[in-house]
Amino acid sequence: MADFLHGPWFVDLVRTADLAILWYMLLVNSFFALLLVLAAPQLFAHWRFGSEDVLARSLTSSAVPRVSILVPAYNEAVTIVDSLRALLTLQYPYFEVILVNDGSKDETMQVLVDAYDLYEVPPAVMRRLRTERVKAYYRSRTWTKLLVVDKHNGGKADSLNVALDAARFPYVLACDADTLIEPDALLRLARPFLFDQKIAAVGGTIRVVNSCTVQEGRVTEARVDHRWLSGIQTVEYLRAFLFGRLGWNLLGGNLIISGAFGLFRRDYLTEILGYATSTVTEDFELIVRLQRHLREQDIAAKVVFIPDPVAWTEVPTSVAVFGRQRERWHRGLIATMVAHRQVLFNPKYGATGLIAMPYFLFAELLAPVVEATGLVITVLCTMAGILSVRFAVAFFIAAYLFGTLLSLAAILMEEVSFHRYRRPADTARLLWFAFIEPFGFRQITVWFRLKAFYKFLKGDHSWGRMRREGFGATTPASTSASAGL
Amino acid sequence: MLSLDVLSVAMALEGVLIAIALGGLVLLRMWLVARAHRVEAGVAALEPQLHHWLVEDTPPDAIVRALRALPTYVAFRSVARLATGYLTFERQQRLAPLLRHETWVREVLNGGESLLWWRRFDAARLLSIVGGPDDAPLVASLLSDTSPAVRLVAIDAAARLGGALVDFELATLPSRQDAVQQYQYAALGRHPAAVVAAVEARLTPLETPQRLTTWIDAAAALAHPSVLWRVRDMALHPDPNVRLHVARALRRQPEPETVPVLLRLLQDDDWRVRAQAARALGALRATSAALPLARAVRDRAWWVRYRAALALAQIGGSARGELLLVARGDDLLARDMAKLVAGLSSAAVVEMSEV
Repeated sequence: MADFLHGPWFVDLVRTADLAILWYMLLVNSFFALLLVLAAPQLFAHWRFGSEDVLARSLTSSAVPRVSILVPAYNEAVTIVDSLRALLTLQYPYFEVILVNDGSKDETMQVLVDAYDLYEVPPAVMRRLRTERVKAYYRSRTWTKLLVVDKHNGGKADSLNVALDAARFPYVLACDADTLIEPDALLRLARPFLFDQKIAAVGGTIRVVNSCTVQEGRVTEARVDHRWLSGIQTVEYLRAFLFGRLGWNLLGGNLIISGAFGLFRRDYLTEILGYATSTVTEDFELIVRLQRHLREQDIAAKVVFIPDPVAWTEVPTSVAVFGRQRERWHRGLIATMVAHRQVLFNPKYGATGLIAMPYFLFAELLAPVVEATGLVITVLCTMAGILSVRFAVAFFIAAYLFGTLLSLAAILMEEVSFHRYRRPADTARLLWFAFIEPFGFRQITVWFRLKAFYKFLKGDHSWGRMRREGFGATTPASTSASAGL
Repeated sequence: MLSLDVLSVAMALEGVLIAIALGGLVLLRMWLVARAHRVEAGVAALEPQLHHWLVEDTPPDAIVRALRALPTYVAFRSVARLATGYLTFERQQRLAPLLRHETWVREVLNGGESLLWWRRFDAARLLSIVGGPDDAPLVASLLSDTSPAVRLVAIDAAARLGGALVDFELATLPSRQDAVQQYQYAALGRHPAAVVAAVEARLTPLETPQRLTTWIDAAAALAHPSVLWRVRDMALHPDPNVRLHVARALRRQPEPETVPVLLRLLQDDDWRVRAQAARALGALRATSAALPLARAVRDRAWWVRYRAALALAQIGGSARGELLLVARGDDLLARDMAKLVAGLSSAAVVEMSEV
C-alpha cells in the first residue's frame, strides 16, 4: 500500500487533483466575493426604495398589478389556518387567494371548510393545463378573495398548475402553505413594476421562522433558533438571499426564484405549460424554462430578485428531515441541469447560458463531489507524506476563514439594511452559528448532496417525508378559527 | 502550487477582515440604536404640535419650529412619514409654503442635482410634499432621471405643481410600462382642468393605435364627460385593441347614450372587447342590457361568460332573474357560470366586478 501511495504516477495524479481543487476553490470563492460586491449597492438601493412613504403611495395607487396567490397544500392541517389568514389580510389592494388541497391525507380540507365557511361552487374555471382530476371548487362565505380547490393527489407542481388555471389575474404569486408572508411583502414585491421595467418574475427573501414569535399568522418578533441545525440554516438563508441572489440581478441570469415566494407573469407561465410535474424542484426548473422561453421568443422581460419583501418558512430541525430536503434539492438540480444541458455554454441564451448555468454546474452541482474528493485526497496525502501537514492545516484554516467571512458579511448586510433581529442575543447567535457552520453542518450537507447523485442514477422521483412543527406561539384567535367558532 | 506563504497572507487578511466585520457590527448596532432613538424622539416632539394643528386647527408654525430643531435627516423622515400617514393633500398644501424655505428643506432639495441617485431620490420625495411652481425645472429634470425610483417619485412632485408639467408628462406616457402609466394617470387626475384639454386634443383617429390606447386610458382615469364623449367616438375603430380600451373606459360614463355603444361592442368579433363591454354594462347598471348579457353568458369565451354573469348579478332586479334562468338552462358551461355567480354574496360580486 505504501509503495502504491508513493508511486510516481500516483503522486503526480494526486498533485494534479490537488491543484485542480485549489483552483476550483479559488475560482468559486472569488465568484462568491464578486456576488457580494455586486449585491452591496443593490441592497442599499432597495433599502432606500422601501421607505415607508414610498410604500404608502403604492398602496393607495391603482397602479400595482392584480395578483392571484397560488397556494398548494398537502397535509398542512397544523398550519393552514394561520398561514391562509396571513395571506388573506395582506396589505395589497387587488388580489385573490387560490388554495389547492392536493389530496391531503390529514384534516386539511375539513379544517379549511370549518375555519373559512366554505361552500361548493360549480367548476366554472378555465382549463388550459393538463392536471390531476379536480374533486370540487369551494368559495368562502366570509372571505370573498378566497377560492379553494380540492383535487386528487398529483404533487406540488400539479397543484400549482390547477391554481394557475383558476387564476383570474395577470400576475400570480406562488407560495407554500407553510410560508408566512409579511403584510407588506406583496406591495414591496410589486415595486419593480412601478420602476418601468418589463418583468417576467420577481422573487423575495425567505427567512427562517423557527423560534420566532408568531401571532395570528404574523411574525411579531424575529428570533434566531438556539438549536444548531435551524440556527445555522438561518445564517445560510441570509447568505443565500442577501448577497447570493441579489448579486445575480446584475449578472443577468437569475435562476432561482423560491417556490415558496415568487411573483410571475401568468401568460408566460401558461405559454410554457406551467410547472413541470416530473421534477422534484419545480421552482428551479420553472425559472430555467422561463429564461429559455424569454430568450427563444426574444422577450426582453427580466427575472429579478429584491431583498425587502419577506416570507418566513419553517426549516427542518432534525438531521433526517434536513437530509431528505437537501438530497431532494440536489437531485432536482441534477435533473434540471441534465434536462436543460443544451443551454450550458450556449451564447444564444446570453447570461443564462454563459454564466448562470455554468455556475450552477461547477459551483453547485459538482461542489459536493469536489469537496468530498478534496477532503479524501488531502487526508490520504497528508498521511502518506505527499502533502505537508502544515500546508493542509493552513489551507483548511484559510478556507474556513473565507466561508466565515462571507457569513459575517451577510450578517453585516442584514444589520445595515433591514435589521430584523433586534435583540443583541440573536445577533450573537447568528455570529456563533456563522463560526460553527463549517464543523459538521457542511459535511452533513455534502453527504446528503452526494446521496442525491445515487438516487438520481436510480431514477428516484420521490419527495421524501417532511415533518412540520407548526409556528411557535399559537394564539387563541387561531385556535378558535380552526375549530370553526 | 499555492505556497504556505500565500496561504499565511490570505489567513492574515481574512483574520483582519473578520475582526473589522465584528467590530463594525458592534459599532453599527450602537449607531443604529442611537439613530432610531433620535428619530423616535423627533417624531414624539412633533406629535403635540401635530395634534393641536389637526384637532384644534391652530396655525402650523409650531410644527415648522419643532422640525427646525431636529437634525436634517430626522426632520425629513418625520415630514415624509407625516405627509403619507396623517396629512390630507389640503393640509400638505398649507404646510408646504411654510417649510419651503427652511434651511433643512433647502439642504435636501439641493440634492436634486446631485450625482448620487439617493440624494435626488430624497429631493424628489420632499418635492412631492413641499414643491411649488418655482421648482418646475428641477421636477422636470427629475421626471427624466436615469433612476426609475427617482422618476416615479417625481411623478408625485409634478402632480403638486398643477398644469405646468402636464405636456411633459403626457409626452412620456406612451413609452411607459402599464403600472407606471396607471401611476401617472392618478397623478395627472389631480389637475383635471389642465389635463382634460391636453388629452382631448390627442384623442384623434390620426394617432397610432398604441398611442390612442394610452390617451383612452388617461381619459378613463380622468372620467371627465367631455373626454369620454371623444372616447365613445372611437368605438368603431378598426383596431380591436383600441375598441377594447374604449369598452373598458366607457364604464366611467354613466350616460344613456353609452349603453347602445356598449351593446354593439358586446357583439364584437374580439372576445376581449365583448368581455370588457359586459363588464362596463354591469358597472353602469344597464337594466336594458339584461337580455343581451344573458345571451353573453352562453358565449364561447370563458371571460365573456364570467363578465356577463357578474354584470347581471351587479345590475340586480330582473337581470338577476335572467341569470337564474341561465342557471337552469341546457348550456352546461353557461349554467355552471351562472350558478357560480348567483351563489356569490353581494360583496363578492362587487369585488369581483371591480377587478
